[in-house]
Amino acid sequence: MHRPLSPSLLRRRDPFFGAFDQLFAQAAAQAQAQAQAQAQDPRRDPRRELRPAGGPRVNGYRTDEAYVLVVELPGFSTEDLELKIEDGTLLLSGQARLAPPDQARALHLERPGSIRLARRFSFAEDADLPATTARLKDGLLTLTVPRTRPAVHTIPVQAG
Amino acid sequence: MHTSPAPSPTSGLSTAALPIDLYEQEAALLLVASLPGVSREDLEIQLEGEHLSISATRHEPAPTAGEDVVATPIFRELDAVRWTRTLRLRTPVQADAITATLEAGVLTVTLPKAEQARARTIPVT
Repeated sequence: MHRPLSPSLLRRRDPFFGAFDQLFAQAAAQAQAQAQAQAQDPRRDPRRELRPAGGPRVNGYRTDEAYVLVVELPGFSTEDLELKIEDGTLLLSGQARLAPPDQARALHLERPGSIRLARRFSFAEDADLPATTARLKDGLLTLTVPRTRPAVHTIPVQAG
Repeated sequence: MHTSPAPSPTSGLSTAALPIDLYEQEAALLLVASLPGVSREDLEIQLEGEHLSISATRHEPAPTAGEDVVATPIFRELDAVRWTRTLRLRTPVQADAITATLEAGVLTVTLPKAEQARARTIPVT
């Protein structure tokens, strides 16, 4: 799972729209507590613990009307996600536990047992964060942040 | 503002092995795989003998699909990808009774075991 371009790199390239990863201290503490609880859970398959926890991947786009973020979230439902606006940034967090099927014995496991997400996105000043819309479909979350048009003032030119 | 033409949906199509989970129930095998952004038409599941193969194509999820919108990529971590996977089933299954669902980007393939592969309880009379 490679990440061709780091968001911070692109941020330098495009100063008008930046997005960066940030694992919040709170989420990290929660994750640690959860990991400990899971380690003590005998039902958990030990093989799952060995796998790297690749976080969900995100694409960012800019159109004339909006900034659009697309996040890969297979198995997530809307209840698993939280979206907040804080200090002029958009915080997306959530967790989905990929539950095994009923009365099933695991023969072979390659997918992560759960997916955790905590990312913060910063935008240019024309982003209208409170007007953000979010849509979850086919395991992809699409966040649309409308862009406000700069107000145009016409200054009358007086003769004399 | 700088704009560039939207990339074609198949540009930069990379291939990757599809990670899978395999479970066993009393009467069936279950295969589970994450396929975010894959539509039914871009998914193919085949059973040939005892080899089950899955291939799926995910186009770049740009906000341009079917719309007259030019989207400039700002950063891109997920790309167009073709996932493939073939596995050998050690348990015989009923080929004509295999079903598959694709929900919330998760594929579940249900492979009912062939009669001879089911565990039986023999009643003592």
